Amino acid sequence: MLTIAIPKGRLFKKIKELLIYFEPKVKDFDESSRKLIFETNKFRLVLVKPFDVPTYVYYGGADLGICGKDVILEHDYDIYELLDLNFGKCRISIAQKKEVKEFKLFPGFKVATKYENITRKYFGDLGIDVEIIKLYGSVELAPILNLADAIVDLVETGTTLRENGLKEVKVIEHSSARLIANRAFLKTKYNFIKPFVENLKKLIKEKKEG
Amino acid sequence: MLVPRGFNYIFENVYSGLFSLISKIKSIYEAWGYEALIPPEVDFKSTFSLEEEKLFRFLDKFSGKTLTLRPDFTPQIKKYVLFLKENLYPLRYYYFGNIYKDEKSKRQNFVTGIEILGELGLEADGEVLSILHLILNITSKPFQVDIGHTLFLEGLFEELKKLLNPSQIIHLQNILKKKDFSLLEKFFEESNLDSKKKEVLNFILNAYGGKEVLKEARKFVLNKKMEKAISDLEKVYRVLEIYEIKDNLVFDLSEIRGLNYHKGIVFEVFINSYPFPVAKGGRYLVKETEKVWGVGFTLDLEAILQFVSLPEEKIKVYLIDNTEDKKLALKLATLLRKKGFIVARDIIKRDNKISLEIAKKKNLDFAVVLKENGFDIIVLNEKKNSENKLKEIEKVLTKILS
Repeated sequence: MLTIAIPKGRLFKKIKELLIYFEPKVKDFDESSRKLIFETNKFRLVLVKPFDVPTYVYYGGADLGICGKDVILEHDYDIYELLDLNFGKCRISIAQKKEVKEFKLFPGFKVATKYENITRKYFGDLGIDVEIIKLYGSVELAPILNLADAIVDLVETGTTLRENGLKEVKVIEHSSARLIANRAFLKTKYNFIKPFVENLKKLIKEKKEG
Repeated sequence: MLVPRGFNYIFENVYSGLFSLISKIKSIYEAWGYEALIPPEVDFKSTFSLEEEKLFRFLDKFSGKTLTLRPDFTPQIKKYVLFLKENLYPLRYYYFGNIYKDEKSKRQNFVTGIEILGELGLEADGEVLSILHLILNITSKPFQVDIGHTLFLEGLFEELKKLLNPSQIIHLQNILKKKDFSLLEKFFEESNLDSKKKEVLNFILNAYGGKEVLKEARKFVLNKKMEKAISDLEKVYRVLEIYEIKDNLVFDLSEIRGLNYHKGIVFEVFINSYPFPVAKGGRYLVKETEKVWGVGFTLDLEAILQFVSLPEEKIKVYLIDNTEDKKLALKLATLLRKKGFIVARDIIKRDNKISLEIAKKKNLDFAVVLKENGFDIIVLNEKKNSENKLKEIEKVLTKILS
C-alpha cells in the first residue's frame, strides 16, 4: 500500500479526480471531513496542509506526496520530483501597488511574503538582501498599508491582485502540481511506486492530449 | 537552552545500546583482519572537500591554518596512508566516532566504517560489501544495498558534452538528480539530442532493479567508461554470489549523487520503513600514479540502533541500610552484583519513605531495607519476572544472615 500526502484546498479536487482512475473508492474521500486518513486497498491518503506535504514526504510520514512546485522550492528538501501533473498552474510572482511606475530595488526594500526562502534567494541573487516580512495570509494588504514595498505570492489569474490595487511586476517561477517521493522509499518500495508512476504518467499524457 | 541546535546529550538506554552494538560490529571487523585507526576529531580544513558552509571552522593559533571538526573519516584515513613511509598494502582500518556537519538537522552523528587501501581489484569492493551485510544482519529488519558506478553517468555525460552547452548539462544533471520524468521529456523537446541519447537518458531514470538491469544497460553503452562500469558491476556481483549475499542487492545506475571523491563502485544502504539511507560508501583514488585505491563505507550507528534488539535489562536493586555496622550491606551488594543485579546504595541520610519514593521514580525494580533485626524487600516497579527475582534476592539475604 502507498501512503500519499494530499494537500487540502486548491489542488484537492483535481488530485481526487486523478486518483479515482486508480481506485473508484477515492470518490468518498472528503476534504471537509474531520477524518485525516482515508484508506482503500491501494492507498492510504493523508490530508495535510499544502505547505506540509514535502515535510511529510522528506521525513517518511508518506511515501509520495502531491503539492505545488512553489511549496517544493520553498522547503528545498532532498526529495525526488517525479512528475509534473499539469494542473494547478500558477506563478510565484512579485507584485507592487499599481501606482508604482517602475520596479526598482533599493537597500532596505521590504517584501511581505509567506515564501521566505524563495524571496531571499531571488533578491539575494540580484544583490539585494531585502527585509522580509513573514505573513501567514492576506499578503496583498501589506503594500496598501505601507507595510512593504512589494509582495511575493502565488498568482493564478491575477484577480485578487487587481481587486487589492496591486499589479504583477515579475514572475519568479512557474508552478504546477507535482508528484514527489521520499528518496529511500522510492527505492525500498520501488515495485509499488514504479507502476503507479508509470500509469499516472500515461494518464496525464492522455489528459493533456485531450 | 540546554544544548545548541543539532546537539544532544546521550542517556543511559542509548549509551548501553551503542556499546553492545559497537562490540558486535567490532568483532566482525576484527574477524576480517581490520585494525582500529581513529583520527583526531579536529583536523586541517584542507583535508576535506565538503562545502565550507557545512564545516565547523576555527583558527589554529599554532599553525595559523584553519581547522575543522571532521565531517567525514575517509579523507583523514586516506591522508594518513599518503603519509606512510612504507607501503604494506592492503591496509585495513576500521573506526568509530563522531562526525560533525553544520546543517539544519543533527549536527553531530556517531558513525562507524571501514576502509581498505592498496592496489585493489574488485574483490575489495566485494569484501567491503560483505562486511556491510554482516553488520546489517545484526538488525532484525529487511534491508537493501543499492549499488551503482560513477563511470556509467560520467561516460554518458562525456558523450552529451559534445552535443549540449554547459548550462544544458547542469540542467540535465538536476533533472536526473530529482528524477523528474516530466522535465526530461520537456528537455528532449527543447534540445537537439538524437534518439539514441534520448533512449539512454530514458533508460537511466528507470535503471533500477536486479541483475537484469546490467544486461539491459549493455544495450546503451556508448563508450569505454560506460562499458567498464557495467563489467565492474558484473564482477562485483560474481564476488557477492560466492559470499552468498546477493539477495539484498539492487543495481542503481540512475543515482547521480554520491560523495564527490568517489570514483567507481558506489553504494547506499536502506532499511525498510526507514526514510533515509543508513550507510553510504564506495571506491576512491588514493594515489593516482601508483594506482592506489581505497574502498570503504560509513554507517550511521544511531539510525541502526533503532533496529537492533537491545540486551535484556538487568534488575536494579536499591539498598537502604539502617544498621550501624555497614558490613552486611556491602556483603549483600557484592553478592547481588556477582549474580548480575545492578545494586546502588542509598548513601544519603534521610527518612526511608523519601528514599523509597525517589527509587521508585528512578524506575528501580526492588528496594532492600536492612534493619537491625532483619530486612524488608519492597517491589518498586512490577515486571514480568519480579516474583522469581524477589525469591532470588531473598535467598541471598537469608544465606548471609544465617
